[in-house]
Amino acid sequence: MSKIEVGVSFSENPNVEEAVREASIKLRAKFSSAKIDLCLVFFSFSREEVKKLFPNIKLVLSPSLTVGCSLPLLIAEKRVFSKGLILIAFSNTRVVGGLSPFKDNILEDTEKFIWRLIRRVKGERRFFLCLANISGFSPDFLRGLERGLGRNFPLLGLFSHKEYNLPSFLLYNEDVLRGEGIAGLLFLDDLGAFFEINSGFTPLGKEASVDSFSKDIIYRIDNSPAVYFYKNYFGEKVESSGEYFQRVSRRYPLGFKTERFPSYIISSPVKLNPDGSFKLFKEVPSSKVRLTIPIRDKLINSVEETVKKGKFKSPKVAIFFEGFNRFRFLKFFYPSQLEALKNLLGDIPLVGGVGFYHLGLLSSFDLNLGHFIGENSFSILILGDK
Amino acid sequence: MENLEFLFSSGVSLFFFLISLTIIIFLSIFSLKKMDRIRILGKEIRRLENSLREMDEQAKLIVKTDLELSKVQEELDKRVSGLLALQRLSQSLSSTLEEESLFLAIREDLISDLGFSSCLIIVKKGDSLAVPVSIGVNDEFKEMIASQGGAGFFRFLISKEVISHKELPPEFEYLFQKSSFKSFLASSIQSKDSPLGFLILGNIFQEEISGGALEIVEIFSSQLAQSLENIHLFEEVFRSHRELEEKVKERTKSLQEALEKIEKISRLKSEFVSAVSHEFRTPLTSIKGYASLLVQERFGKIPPAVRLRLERINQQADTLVNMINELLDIARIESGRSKIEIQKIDLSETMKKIADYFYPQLKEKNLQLILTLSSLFVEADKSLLERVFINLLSNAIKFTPQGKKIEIKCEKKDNYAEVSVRDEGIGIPQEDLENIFKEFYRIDNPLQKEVKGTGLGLSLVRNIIKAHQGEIWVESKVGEGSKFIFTLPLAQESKI
Repeated sequence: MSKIEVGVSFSENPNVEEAVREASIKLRAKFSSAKIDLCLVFFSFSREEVKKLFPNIKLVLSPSLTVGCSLPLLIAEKRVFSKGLILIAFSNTRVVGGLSPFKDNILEDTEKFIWRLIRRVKGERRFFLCLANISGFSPDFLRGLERGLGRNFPLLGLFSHKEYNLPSFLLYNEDVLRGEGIAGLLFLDDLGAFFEINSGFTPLGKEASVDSFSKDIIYRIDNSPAVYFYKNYFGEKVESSGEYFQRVSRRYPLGFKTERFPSYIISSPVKLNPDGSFKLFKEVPSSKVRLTIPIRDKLINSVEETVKKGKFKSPKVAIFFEGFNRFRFLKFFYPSQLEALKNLLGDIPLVGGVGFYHLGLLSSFDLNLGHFIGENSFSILILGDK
Repeated sequence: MENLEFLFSSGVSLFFFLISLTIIIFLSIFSLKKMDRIRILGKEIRRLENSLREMDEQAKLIVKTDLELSKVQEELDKRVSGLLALQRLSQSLSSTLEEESLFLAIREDLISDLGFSSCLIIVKKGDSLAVPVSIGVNDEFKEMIASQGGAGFFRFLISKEVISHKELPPEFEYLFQKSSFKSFLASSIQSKDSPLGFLILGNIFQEEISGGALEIVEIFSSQLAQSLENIHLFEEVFRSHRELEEKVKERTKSLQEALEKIEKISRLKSEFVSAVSHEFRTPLTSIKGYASLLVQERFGKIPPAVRLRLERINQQADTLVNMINELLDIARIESGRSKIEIQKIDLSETMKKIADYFYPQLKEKNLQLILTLSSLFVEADKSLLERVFINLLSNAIKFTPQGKKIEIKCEKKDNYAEVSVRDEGIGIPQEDLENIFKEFYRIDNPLQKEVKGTGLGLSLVRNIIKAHQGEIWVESKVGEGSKFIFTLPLAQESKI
């Protein structure tokens, strides 16, 4: 059983040519003459600048497969920076990947994309890493992945949504750069992967019951219009001011209790309807709901608790994605979170970014928990030998 | 029988009645117990409900407090962001000494981090106002503020600290009509000596100015004033330095020109002396020749008085010839035309030879010559070196009275040979010591004037020693004597 090799390098140079030169050369030095099977790239440059990025990576590293996406902020070790790039190179790794646009139907387009990847595969499929920018109903996207890969297939992903005015998201694969679509990597054979999505928000107040909902809209809670739930805590202003409602609901999202997952599933209402119902980002997870509150220490502890669970024989890299909301809450204390994370990881390189939304199986420990979409959450993926 | 039956049936009825009563009593007791339990459970439920209600109330309180705290936190975050941005700005401002770079360092992202959407900086340029920084500001407003109206606003700001849009006097409202600011803060930029300009930081989104923003604007304007003052000071210093450099360059040029003139004059002098000396030599040779012939009575006998005078003519002609020769030597050495033939010379041998040459004069004046010589070799022109010894010893003999001593010493000093000629003669006054080596210099002393000489001997000695990379100086005391000392570099093998 051959061991996978992983190398990580990054550059904070705001000049794209210099950044790619610095990072590529460092990585090539680590790999010497070994063949690089996959180069995963996270970058924060503009579309114009990115045109100079990938040709230089190919020149120095000559990877068999290059996949990348843009992020507003990048994380490398204990640092967060807004301009630069991160390269994660894999050697001795069997992987297939690709990039595909969305045309008419997200569910079908996603399913077809996965099938095209699977058709190229000979061998056991282990893990799917997904990067996407979608418009439309996000649970359809998740359903497309499930139908393509199979229910409860280990997957983790990062995605942006066109509807919610997020910074522009670029996806790259083999000289193709897209603003919308899905890029995916299907890892094969003996790759070990630990992953989990969590949030760290703390439930507060008494549990309420969702009496009436449909897909992603909650109509009534505790026999009253849904907005009353927030009115109970924050007063009349939530009903009269859409801006105040958004501000409050973003800071105090709803926590849904499920039997399957020990932590509360967190979801923020994204829109208040005139009839007092509100729309969530994803499908309503359960009927038991509480208000949740971000407490700084608990947000940081949740990351520590999550990482402590991951026991590995030979971990090679930790990829960490942070949701915008959590990053905003932690703000000046964000370095403390990275410090705590890095202390637990030790020598394992830590890279990632502050991105958008997370999707995938909630945890690698119980694949029956099912797939999940999170917006006030973080996700961590540790890859290594099985 | 009927009674028995009656009794029996009554008994049975009673029995069943008792059973029923018992059952009823049991059930009642049981129900009562259950009711108790239910009551207790009911109380428990009510208690739990109250707890939940309390918890919910507490949660509301927590949330309310958290919301208030988060507002404060947001305000604090803004302040911290603003201060961090101010720190970055301060670093940029203090890292340059050029006005243009200073203003370029004030960027849109920094202004945004300070909590404003727009920034306008106006500075005084002579009698008018210039706008070196304009971020998020439309041209109309910019032009308005840089005009005469802006000058009035500037004068108003000088007497204030920081003013907000709420404190804008009515007479200046027209200036801001085109600005699209919902709120702003304005402050003058003042150095210690004078007002340099003013700045306006505006917000097109927010109507309220936070308390921290005032402090930020104060610090910003103060830093700007400091940086501008530093730049002006630096420019002044740089200008003065440049002017000084120019002056030094000019002065150096004048000095250079003066030196060149002097060198030219000196060269011309040497050439003149050389030319004139050559011209003098020819007639002098004739004078000497004819005088000699007459003394030798080639043209007939001559009376003794005539002989005496002819001999004097001969002597004076010799003196003139010596003077001319020395002048020519000096001129040649000075102009570099003298052919110096370097060879390795034993100083002690040379000195002994010259000493022998002066034996008759020494005997005549009963002078004792003491030689303390080391065998030292120098690289020098033999004839010129001999001339040095001749001139020095000759002077020593001339200026030393009868019966006294003359001492010549030669010793090694580091990589040099040091030669000294000491006499017990009349000595040289202190005020004449530095001039003694000048051409034609004669000491103003009746005793000195009695002794004949060209006044060129020591000048020639100095030129010869200098041409051999040596030094010469004199130590002397009137009435006690003089000591002439010179040094010459030793020949290679003699060096350490």
